[in-house]
Amino acid sequence: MNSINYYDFFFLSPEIIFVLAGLVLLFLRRQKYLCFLLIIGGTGLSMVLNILMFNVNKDIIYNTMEVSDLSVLLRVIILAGTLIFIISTKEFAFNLEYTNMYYAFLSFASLGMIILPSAKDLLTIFIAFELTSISTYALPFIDQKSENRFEAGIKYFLTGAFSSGLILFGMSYVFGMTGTLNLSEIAVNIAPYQGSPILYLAFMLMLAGFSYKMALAPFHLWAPDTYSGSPSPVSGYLAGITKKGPFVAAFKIFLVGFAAIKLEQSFALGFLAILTMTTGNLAALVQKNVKRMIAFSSVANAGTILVGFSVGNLYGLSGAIIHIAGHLVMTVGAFMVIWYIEETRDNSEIDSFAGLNKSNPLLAISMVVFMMSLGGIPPLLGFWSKIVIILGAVDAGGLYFFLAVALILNSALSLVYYFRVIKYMYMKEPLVPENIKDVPFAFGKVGIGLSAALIIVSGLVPGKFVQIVINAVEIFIG
Amino acid sequence: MLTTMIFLPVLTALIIMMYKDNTEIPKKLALFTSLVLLGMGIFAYLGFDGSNPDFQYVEKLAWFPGMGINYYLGTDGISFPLILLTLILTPLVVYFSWDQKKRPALYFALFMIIEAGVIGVFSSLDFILFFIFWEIVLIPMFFVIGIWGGARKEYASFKFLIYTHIASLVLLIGIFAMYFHGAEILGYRTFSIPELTNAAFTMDFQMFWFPVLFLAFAVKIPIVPFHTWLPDAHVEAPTGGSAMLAGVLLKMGTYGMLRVAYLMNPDVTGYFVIPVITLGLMNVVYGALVALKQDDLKKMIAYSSISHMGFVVLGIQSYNLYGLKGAVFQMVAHGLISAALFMSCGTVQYATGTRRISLLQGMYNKMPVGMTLMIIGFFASMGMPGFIGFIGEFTVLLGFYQAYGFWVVLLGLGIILSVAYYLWAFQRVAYGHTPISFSGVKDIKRNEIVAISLLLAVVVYFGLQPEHIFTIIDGKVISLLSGF
Repeated sequence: MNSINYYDFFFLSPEIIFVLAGLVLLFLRRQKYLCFLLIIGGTGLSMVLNILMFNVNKDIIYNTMEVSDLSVLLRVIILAGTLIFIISTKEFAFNLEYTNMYYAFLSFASLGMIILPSAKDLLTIFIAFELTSISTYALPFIDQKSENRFEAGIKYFLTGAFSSGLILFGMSYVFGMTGTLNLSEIAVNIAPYQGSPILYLAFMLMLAGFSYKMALAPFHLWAPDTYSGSPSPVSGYLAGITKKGPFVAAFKIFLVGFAAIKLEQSFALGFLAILTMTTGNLAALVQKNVKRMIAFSSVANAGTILVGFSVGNLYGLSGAIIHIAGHLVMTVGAFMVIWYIEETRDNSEIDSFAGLNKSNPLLAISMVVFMMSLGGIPPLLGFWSKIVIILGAVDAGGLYFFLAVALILNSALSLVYYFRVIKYMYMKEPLVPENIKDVPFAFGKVGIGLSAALIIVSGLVPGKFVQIVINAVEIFIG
Repeated sequence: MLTTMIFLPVLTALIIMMYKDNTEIPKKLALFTSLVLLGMGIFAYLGFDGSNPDFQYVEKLAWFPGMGINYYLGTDGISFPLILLTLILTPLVVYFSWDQKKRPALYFALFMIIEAGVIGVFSSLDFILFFIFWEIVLIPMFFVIGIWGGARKEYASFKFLIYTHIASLVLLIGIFAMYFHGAEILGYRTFSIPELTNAAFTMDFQMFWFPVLFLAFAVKIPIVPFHTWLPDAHVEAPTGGSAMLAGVLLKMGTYGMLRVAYLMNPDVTGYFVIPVITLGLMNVVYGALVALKQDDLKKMIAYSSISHMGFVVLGIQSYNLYGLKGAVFQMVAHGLISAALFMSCGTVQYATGTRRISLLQGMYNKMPVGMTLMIIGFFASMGMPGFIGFIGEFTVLLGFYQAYGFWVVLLGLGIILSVAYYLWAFQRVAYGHTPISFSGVKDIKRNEIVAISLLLAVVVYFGLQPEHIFTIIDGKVISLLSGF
């Protein structure tokens, strides 16, 4: 056990690919196409290797990482989302001055993102987590044209750094109490501390830190500014993909490590969930700018995911993971549509969406799919994830029932602003044609189409995907 | 059979959407498909065994077996008349809207999707499938109101969407509760409606969930005081949209109420007699009274819809042979009649540009055919013998009298009031001197005449031959009551 088995290197190969790709990309200053092919190839290969690791379920490198169905599933979800994201931002990336840096950042961020689901100890989780955060701190600045990039980037950086400090502080208490960093050992050693204020202090500190990262109300105020100030593709990446990292980390730390205080935890998460959903939706309701609206909607959706974690049973957790997957694809797609609108019509105000149906019917119908799926209209993916979460809450009964009701009311509330976008696209007269510029957007359209198709197909044939998630979660919770 | 009925219109809608700027092909395709479906419906009617209480034309495929979700379709004496209603109504509504100039492709595609969704609701035997169709119907209706509607179309479409969506989500919680409760009784998890119906839920469960489910469906019917979305939606919707909304969408509410709230919780309905009867009578009388004071012709018809849907609720609550038969029959009757009424109201608006009763006068001189069709529709709706409305209301009255005796007087009051508001409105609109401003008004167009008169012909035919519908309802209802 005390030596690294060379066989382990196979299980590390997805990570190794990203390390190599990232390093090579740093030197490819001029060859934009090569960069593009390299990162696409790397992500794709890494995803395929991950898929091969299904049904292995073992711990690797001194129990600091694991290969379980759940972790593999989360990695595949994240990588699939990243792949779609990379395809659809090809035009954006090629307009940048430092295309290779952009791809290198993505590569390192993805490295962190795929270590997270399989990390089994606090330090690995923290490092993976910081790797992602630090790689993405520069992303809001990357487009030299964007006006609010400084506000967006600085806010993102400062809150990110501050919250990392909080998390680390909390972790130090945990280490002090339990003398170990391994999550499953923590779960055992922490039990005697039940009721001790130190335990709750550690929990609160980590919860606050993660709440910042997950943008839960009342720690969410940085998120709308960052997302609306950054270039839209970057917002899509931050809101859609990297924001799922903290969820995975919190999910592991709280559900595995802090299993001893499950009840208190569940209560705290449930409370935050209701607060976040309501705040996010109410704020999104009054936005006139679609980009900002989607930013608030992703705050609200964080609350929806949290409902699943709070319920914490088989269906609750599965629903949360399905929602992570669904929200990832929907957000990336929606932000890409917003980017196209910004490029062609100069801003992302809701008026700019007027009559999109006339000029770009396929883009409009994709946006309808994203909006309806976010609003939970059947039979799209967003509907199934909400259904499974609600199913879990009703199954758990008791107070969780109110969580289900809160989710439902919020879901109905959110329809108002999602359908407002649809209303503008289909029911308003389009802008004067002279105001619409033409930009190359072939790959963007492919990416958007791919996301919409994924949402529709997985919605029409939910059985397979949802069942895989449920099985993986079942193995995880034992 | 049922799968084809659901997916053929969807396919047609997709094809129609390709002819974006064409004004001819979309409507012809839509009419063709809806006629083909009507043909299939007649074929299915001939093969339908009315004495058999079980589900017929059953199709079952595993869809998501891990959670007990199946693609499970079938129809029985309760749902089949409503499927027929949808099949009859759609081609007529499409033909009525023949002159749709504004974005015809989208318009007819949406109607095809509505038809598919409604048939899906009436034929689903799996709760998840049921819920999906239930929600899908909202979306095309939202667009129909929002794009082709009147002055306050955006407000009305949003109100319609949000109001009914909240109710659907309440229904969803109820469905999950039944799912888990059913799993405890059956020993396995399933969303299948027939299996859960046979599971016989415990009394405590029924006591809590019957009112919840009742309220979830009440919004769709709508039952006063949850009706406020309906007048707005109707007033703003285009004529075709109103006809579909009143004709079939409201029936989803009463159908769901009967199928889910009542048939799955049959033991506790006796405990809720007073509230349900109060709500139902309020619907009948309040709807009629409000209709009496309306100045807007369409709003008057919308409130009369509320009044007539009250009969259905009361028929269901009576839960005896005549009550249930009458309720199902009244759903069909009201669907056909209210569609005809909204169509004739639409013709008046098209010809004169207004629906204000106080502005219209002497229309009979200008549009004799249109006014004749309208008064026939009014007669049918107020329950004149010989029309389908009479049979429905009379049967409900019988059932209600058997169950609750004296209170039937209030139902009678509703009928009398309906005579009052219809005749009064007709007198003000049709007779008197035609104002000069309406001197250029033309009589209604040919496609409108054809659509409305065919609809009225169906109304009269089934009014004289109600047995054709009762035979398909009877077997199911009798088996329900004998198992009670």
